[in-house]
Amino acid sequence: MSRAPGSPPVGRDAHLVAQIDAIGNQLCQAVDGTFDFYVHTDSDEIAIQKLAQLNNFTLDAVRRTIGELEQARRELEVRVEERTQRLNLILSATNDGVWEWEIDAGHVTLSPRWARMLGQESAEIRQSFEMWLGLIHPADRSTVEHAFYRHLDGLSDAVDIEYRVRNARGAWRMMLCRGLCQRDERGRALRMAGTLSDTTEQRLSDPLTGLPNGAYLDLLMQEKLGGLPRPPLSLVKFQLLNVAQLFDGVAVERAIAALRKRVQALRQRLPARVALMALPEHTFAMVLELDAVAELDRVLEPVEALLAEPVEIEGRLVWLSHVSGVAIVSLHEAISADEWRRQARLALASARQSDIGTRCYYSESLRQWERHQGRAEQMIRGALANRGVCCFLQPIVDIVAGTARGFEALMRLEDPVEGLVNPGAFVEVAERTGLIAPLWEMLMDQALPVLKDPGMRERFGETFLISINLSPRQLMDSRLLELMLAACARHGVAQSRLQVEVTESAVLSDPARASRMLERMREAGIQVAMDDFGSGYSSLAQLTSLPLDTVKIDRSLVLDVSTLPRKQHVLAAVVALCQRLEHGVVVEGVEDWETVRLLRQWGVREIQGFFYARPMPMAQLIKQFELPLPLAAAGASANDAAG
Amino acid sequence: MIGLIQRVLIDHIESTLGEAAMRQLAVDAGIEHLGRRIDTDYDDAECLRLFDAAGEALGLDQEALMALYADIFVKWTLVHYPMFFQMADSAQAFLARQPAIHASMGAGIRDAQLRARVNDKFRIVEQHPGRLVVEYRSDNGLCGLYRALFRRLLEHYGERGLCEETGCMHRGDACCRFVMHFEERAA
Repeated sequence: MSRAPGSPPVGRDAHLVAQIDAIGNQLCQAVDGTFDFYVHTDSDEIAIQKLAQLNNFTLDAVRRTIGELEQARRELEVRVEERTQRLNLILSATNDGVWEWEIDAGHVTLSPRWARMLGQESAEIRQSFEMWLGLIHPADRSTVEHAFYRHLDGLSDAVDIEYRVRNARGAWRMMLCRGLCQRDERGRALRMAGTLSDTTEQRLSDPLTGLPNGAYLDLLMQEKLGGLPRPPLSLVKFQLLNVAQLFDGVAVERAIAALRKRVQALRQRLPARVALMALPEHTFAMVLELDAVAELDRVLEPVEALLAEPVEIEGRLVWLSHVSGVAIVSLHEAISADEWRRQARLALASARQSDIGTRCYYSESLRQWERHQGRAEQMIRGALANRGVCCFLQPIVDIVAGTARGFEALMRLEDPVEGLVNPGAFVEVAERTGLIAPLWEMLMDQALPVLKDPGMRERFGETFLISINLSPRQLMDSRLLELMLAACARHGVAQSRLQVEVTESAVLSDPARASRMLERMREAGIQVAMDDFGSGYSSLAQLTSLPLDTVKIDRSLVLDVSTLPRKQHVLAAVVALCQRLEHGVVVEGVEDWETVRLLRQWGVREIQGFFYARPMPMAQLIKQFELPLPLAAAGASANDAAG
Repeated sequence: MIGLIQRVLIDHIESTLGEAAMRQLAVDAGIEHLGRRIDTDYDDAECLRLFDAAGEALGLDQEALMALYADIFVKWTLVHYPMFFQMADSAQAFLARQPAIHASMGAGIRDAQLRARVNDKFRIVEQHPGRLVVEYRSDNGLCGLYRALFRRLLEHYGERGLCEETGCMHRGDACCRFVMHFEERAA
């Protein structure tokens, strides 16, 4: 059927157009983005039906595709949700915060947990990378930046760095930051993301007491020293010396609980803003913004008063001994944290040398003392390395028989600068550093051959003793007896010709143990002498309880005894007591004939002192020392007797 | 069954035997309203009865009827759906697309179950150059028609091939399975 252009269709054409139009109208529903409809036609025309059918097929395909996409999306959402939940579980279990650095945008997004870790409001934070870095401790910042940029540049596999960061309350926290870069197919970094773990507990906290630790003290010191304007400052350290007493016979956890309770009480005695920090070896520290001793007293006396009170543990009272050291940095003094720390350490070390409860302040003399200690240690080490240990001998004279009862082996160190050095300059350091043991062994190796030396035997016979001092530390060494017996065997001398000298103070630290050790020595045939008796806190009880052969009376009881009658009474009584207890008696420090005469009147036979001989090397002794004539036989003058 | 199948048969009967014969055929098959729409799903049983009646009227056994039907089907669709033939350059390509074409015929069915039944009838199981495996799953059991269409399409494309029916619902298998081999055409 043909029709003029522009004229409306008629007949079959009109019917077909209407049918096609109807299909088109139905398809209009698709503009809403919904495809959930079907195209219908009433037409008997196969072409129209085909059109409807294929439209339905297309719509069906669209619906199916959308359905599949929806399903994929839902599955993806479920997986994302599952993964998110898992990640959240892990993050909450590890207590980690999450950060993400959008490199092109230059901002860092921080999770609410991250914000909470730094004491901020719990919300997601977005800030610039620079602002984020600004929270980091100035000393750590360049290291952190370096770690980030190294990873960004592909030089490291990951970011893994620990640093300090200030929280919203102004306190320093330790953070472990881990992260990885996401890169495009060309390797260009798109973003970096990772976690932040608060490691403050591990890094800045003392596990025993729960207090901030030494690393925290370092931070605090740096901060205080860097403050502008800087206030006057004092670093106070105190050390509990006998915490082991708390643990004696008590379950460890109970002892720890008692210690924590005491530490907490100490903290409460301090001003609220003063942090108490726990350092190794039961030492505690605080930084006070004070420099006047009176003000320090006001703060520290309540703490010291509490330290003087006993700790009650399982119905038992334990007194904790303490000492403290203070290093003051006055208002305009320039000082590094290291130097400040060293000053406080020195003050505390000095307090430890003093009485319990002592508080020592750092001073220049302390510095000199430290230098001396340092020099002494170097001198000892040099002597050990270069065999610079020299054995000097001082005779112990039997004035009645006119013989040498024995010789005390005395140590001297040969120093290239100082020359021969007396024990007073190094024994304390040797004892503290443990170097006394190798020194003593070297001395033994020189002293024992004296017993077999032909010159000595010819001059002094075959029965004299070698007497060697033992330090407190050696006396507590369970291997000591074995060492001495081995040395005697090595040098082929009888142990019965060996005498050890122990001081009262060496015994006092653990009298029972010392007594057992001395008893074993005597059983082995070694003679035991109490040295320097009367020089310190003399305990007369020791004269009866300790297994002794001889008591050597200290020169402090002897000095000027011939001119001081009251001193004569004391010395005479001590001598008589020792004699009554059947101990051998040696009087040390005798320098004049009058004293010899007095001692002889009191029945003393054995004398050691400059009156007869100063300590000297063996060769000199053989050559120069003359034995005195026997007193009973000679009745000679002092000069004659001294030879 | 999709209306297209029925429509092709009706058009052939009417054109060869006349409209009156077609009406009688419908009466013989017990079909009250003879459906001619290609986009409608008609009752399977009625459709099968119509095929049986047509076979009797034409004096053809089942296999001959299927061969005839395959021929008229190809001719009919070449007229009305020439694009499907243009889209395929071989019998294998046509048959590989056949399940989708079949599904398109049922796209207008609103009942989801019915539409799914149409969609699920044919499934490509394996497809390699020269080899195609298809499963057919329908209570109508028109596997003979598929085999006839296979032969007719080979003829249309001027190809040679072989169709093995390794499984058949008439033999009690879960589905009919056609393993088809296509000889490569000479250049």
